[in-house]
Amino acid sequence: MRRTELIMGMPITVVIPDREGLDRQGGRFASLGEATEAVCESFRQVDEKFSPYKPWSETCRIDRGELSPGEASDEMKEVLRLAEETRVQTNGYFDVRFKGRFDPSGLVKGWAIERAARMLSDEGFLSFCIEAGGDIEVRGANDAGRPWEIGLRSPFEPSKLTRKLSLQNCGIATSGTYIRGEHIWNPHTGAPANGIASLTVVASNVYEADRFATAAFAMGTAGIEFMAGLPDCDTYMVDARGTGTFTPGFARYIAS
Amino acid sequence: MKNSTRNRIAATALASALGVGTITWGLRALPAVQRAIARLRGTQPSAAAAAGLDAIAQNAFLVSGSTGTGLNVGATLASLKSGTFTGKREYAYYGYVKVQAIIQNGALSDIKVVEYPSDNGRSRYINGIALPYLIQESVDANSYKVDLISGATFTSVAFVRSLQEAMKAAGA
Repeated sequence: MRRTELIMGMPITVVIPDREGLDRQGGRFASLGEATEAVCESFRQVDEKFSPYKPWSETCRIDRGELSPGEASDEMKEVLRLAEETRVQTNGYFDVRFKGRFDPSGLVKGWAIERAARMLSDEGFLSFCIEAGGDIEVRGANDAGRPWEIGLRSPFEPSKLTRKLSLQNCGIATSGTYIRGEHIWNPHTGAPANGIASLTVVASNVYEADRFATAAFAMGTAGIEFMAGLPDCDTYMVDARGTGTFTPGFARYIAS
Repeated sequence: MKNSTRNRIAATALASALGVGTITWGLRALPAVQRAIARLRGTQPSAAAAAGLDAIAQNAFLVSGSTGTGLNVGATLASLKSGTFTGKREYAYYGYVKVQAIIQNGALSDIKVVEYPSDNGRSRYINGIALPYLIQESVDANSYKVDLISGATFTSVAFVRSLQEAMKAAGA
């Protein structure tokens, strides 16, 4: 079963192989429909609490100084703790407090996917994948019983893929900007020759992949060097000239 | 890409931008899609428009399984006024997107992105780290059959919404 909804301003897709719906016993969900709805509902809850665009959200109330972190919900406290951990790990680069504003968006997307994946896992689902705006958590095997096949979108031709990856029980996230000003990045028509077009991270889960993809992308071409120094993360970078660079560990995921 | 494929994708994208595409694909939408295809037949969109339309087509495909997305503006294809039409700012998670549709001779000829999310304001310098062993290759664009796609798609949803507004202003 496959379900897509627009939540948090981006498409959220959850795929659960139909075989997971057979012989379901116990657990909260009687059907795959209920399970996929619960995933979407968990993203809606995250949006209400963490949206930097909804004035009533905890994010906006903290930003305006109306809510102190000590009075925030347990989920917000967890995000604040993770944000501080990430700030230290990225040499102070990744900071949810910047120029006096508070915005944890760079962390919340991956955290929300991981949270939804944990919920399905706790209910006994072995195989599924959850995607939010191009970041994906994959568990178990796909409908055909094989590793999930994940395409990497070409930063130059968004309708095409640069690579097909074969993934199991991990997270993948891509940061990139396909549209800059009036231009879609294109190495053949004189796009800026420095800088990166997209950066993909595969890690043990999508939360790890997302936060490091976000941080490394904004580091520019130094990002992949930073990533190569991290254990348990594999990285693929496409620069503006159309050259792909990957860390040695990334090669094992490449299917074609 | 072959012209026929390009036109098919462009028609799908245009129909989608007008709210009659894959999201509401059915008997009601079919005549409008056929008119969109007829309108585009024999016309080659400019390279920029084609690339933009490809992005929309990809996005339209992405949301094709969704329900109640709010992308359907309920418009039908009518003759478009020539000129430049600006869509609304649309929320794209990390920021806002706003696009302009440029209409010439009754057809969408170009799409310009006038506002887009950017993380540049957060940049800070990272201390250098010893250069590791990295593998390089030249990047190809291919069409693979896959379960899901990883990419920075968040802007394109807002892109379609803003474009819909611009197209409505053009009389669509």
